[in-house]
Amino acid sequence: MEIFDSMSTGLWALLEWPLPLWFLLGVLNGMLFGLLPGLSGSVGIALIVPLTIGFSLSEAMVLFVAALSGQTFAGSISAILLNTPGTSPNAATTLDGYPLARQGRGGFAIGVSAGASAMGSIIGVLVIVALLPAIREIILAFSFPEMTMLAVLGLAAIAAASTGSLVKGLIAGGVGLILSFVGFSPVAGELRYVFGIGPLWHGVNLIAALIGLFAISEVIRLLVHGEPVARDATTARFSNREVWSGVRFVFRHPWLLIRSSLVGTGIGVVPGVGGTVASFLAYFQAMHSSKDSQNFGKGDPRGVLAPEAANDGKDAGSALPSLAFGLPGSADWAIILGALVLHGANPGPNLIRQAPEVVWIAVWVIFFASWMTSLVGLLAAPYLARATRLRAGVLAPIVGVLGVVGAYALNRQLIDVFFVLVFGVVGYYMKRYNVPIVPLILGLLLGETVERSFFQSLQIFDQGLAVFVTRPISLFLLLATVAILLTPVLSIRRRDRSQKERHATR
Amino acid sequence: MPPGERNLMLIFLTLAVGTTALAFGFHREEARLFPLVAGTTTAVIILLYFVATAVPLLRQRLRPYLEDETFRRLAAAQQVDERPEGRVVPSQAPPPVTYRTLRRRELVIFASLAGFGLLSWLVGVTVAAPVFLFAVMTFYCRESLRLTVLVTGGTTAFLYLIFVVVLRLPPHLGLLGQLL
Repeated sequence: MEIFDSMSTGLWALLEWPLPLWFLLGVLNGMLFGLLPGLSGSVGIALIVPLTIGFSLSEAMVLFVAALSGQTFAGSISAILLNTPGTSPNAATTLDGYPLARQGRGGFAIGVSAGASAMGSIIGVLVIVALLPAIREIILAFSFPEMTMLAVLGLAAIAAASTGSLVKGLIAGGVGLILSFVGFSPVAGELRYVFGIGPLWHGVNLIAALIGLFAISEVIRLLVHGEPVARDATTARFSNREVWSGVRFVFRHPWLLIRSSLVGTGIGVVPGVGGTVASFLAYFQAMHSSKDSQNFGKGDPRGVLAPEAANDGKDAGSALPSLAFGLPGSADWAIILGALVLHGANPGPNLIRQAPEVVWIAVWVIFFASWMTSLVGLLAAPYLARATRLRAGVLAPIVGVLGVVGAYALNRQLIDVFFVLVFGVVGYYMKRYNVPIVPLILGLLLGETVERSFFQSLQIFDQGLAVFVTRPISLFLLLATVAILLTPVLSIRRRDRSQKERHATR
Repeated sequence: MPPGERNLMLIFLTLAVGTTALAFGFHREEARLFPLVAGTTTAVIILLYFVATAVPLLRQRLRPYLEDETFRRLAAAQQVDERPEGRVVPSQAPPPVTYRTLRRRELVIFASLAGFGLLSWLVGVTVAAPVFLFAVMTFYCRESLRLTVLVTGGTTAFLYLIFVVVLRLPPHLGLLGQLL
């Protein structure tokens, strides 16, 4: 009952002026920075930190968390319409969202994304409420071996992501891993593959790689072929009815919605894994759990539902370790926690004991911000989707410039401009020769995490490789990895055998 | 294997072999282990891919693992008509292009992107972005001057508002700007 009292206190506190105003401004900030490629929500949050001097703790919390939650859905709009993920976790949404936009169903895809985001946040918040009493045990059960295995599980998704060609997918994943080794070695502290170029010390910028591989490669394709994004662009496809049919689609797939949201929330709870892994894993579980998985990657709305539900579920999940233990669940939460310390907060168990209403304000803001951005997105979707009808000669150069400038502005390093352009050309050729892009992203994203947590596991536990099989969660994740790796091979063999049998009976 | 794909795989192979070779030079084992494993494995898979696509018997046996639509796509691209000269038609379904036209356009776009990168280095991203936008819209897309000026001006104003006014980022000046 104590929890419910704190929840209701938090809800009423959120309705007190001027908190609704800071909530609205935070959501607008999040939507703006979520929509713009390259500029993640972290930039938007960092930008408003100085503005909160003089704010009370509750006011600052509302503004920061609204900005964080506002970006999640907004990033999917540019991912769907322009193949340009607004934030890294939205990269998985491009896989089916953009093919839908090319079919002239951008409005429908935004409807799916909005519905999945709103529902994903509800499920995430419910999970938070249920887990709060037991969160300490859950977080303590995750140490370096589990982190390693979770990252390896993400890498194993390379096999699942290798749509079209398993071998080419493995090659792309290997290249992604190789690129992740550029810069400082996370354990040895030794410089690798930097060739005396200072800006390479920090490694290959993931955002620049994402913008290049997804956005710039598509800009090149649009310019080469001179066609608009939407090939079937009848006016009916941009109506409100089409958008709302996307929302209804979400409610027709309740189990997929729940599963994906749980994947997102579960990964969000583990500090440092990140939303990109959550959305890709949710995408692959949706693909593997469906009987007609051959439609994924060609414009299957379930491929939009799963990553978006996971993405919003992750927001709720990552709030849990951040607020309950002061362990940032994501980069955005790291900034928020830093800023809250400036406001006199002591994130962790003390905050829950001393100011439980502030924690619950954050939870309510995650919930309402997700609903508000989804609603704004739904109302704006028919108009936004019309961008897909613009001529390539107008749309493609604008997207290209926004992508390049956004990638530059993130770290203000010229090398990021070169990364964007080079990855754009590489991505264009990869698409043209049917080499899947997602494995490269997964390799680049997870290479450092796997390497760091692998050596930390060996050093801290002093059991050698046995540490990965003697701990139950680690062992479970290892078995799941093996299952994911074997699935594509077995399904290819099964398909091959059935084809041979069919030939024999003819 | 089409030449373009072969070239892409050769680039990846060079990257993998280079990673492996350079890894031997690292002082600490922790820095060496992962690059060695990833580099060697990737190089081996690429080499096996080359062998599997070159030997007909292997190609037949491993076809489900190598399957792709590249040949079909290229063949389809080569069977279509030349695009009419002049202004790009804003139709929903543009006329198809020949393979040669495709290659020519790719080269022009890659050159434009390289120019964008070079210009960003010389005069800064702030100047290079509108110049690239204007040049591509005018000379490649053959859009009208009025529309080009409108789009370039609007995009530049938007970028200025976001990055300079809101984010307070100093404009990027590039090499020449710093020298001046």
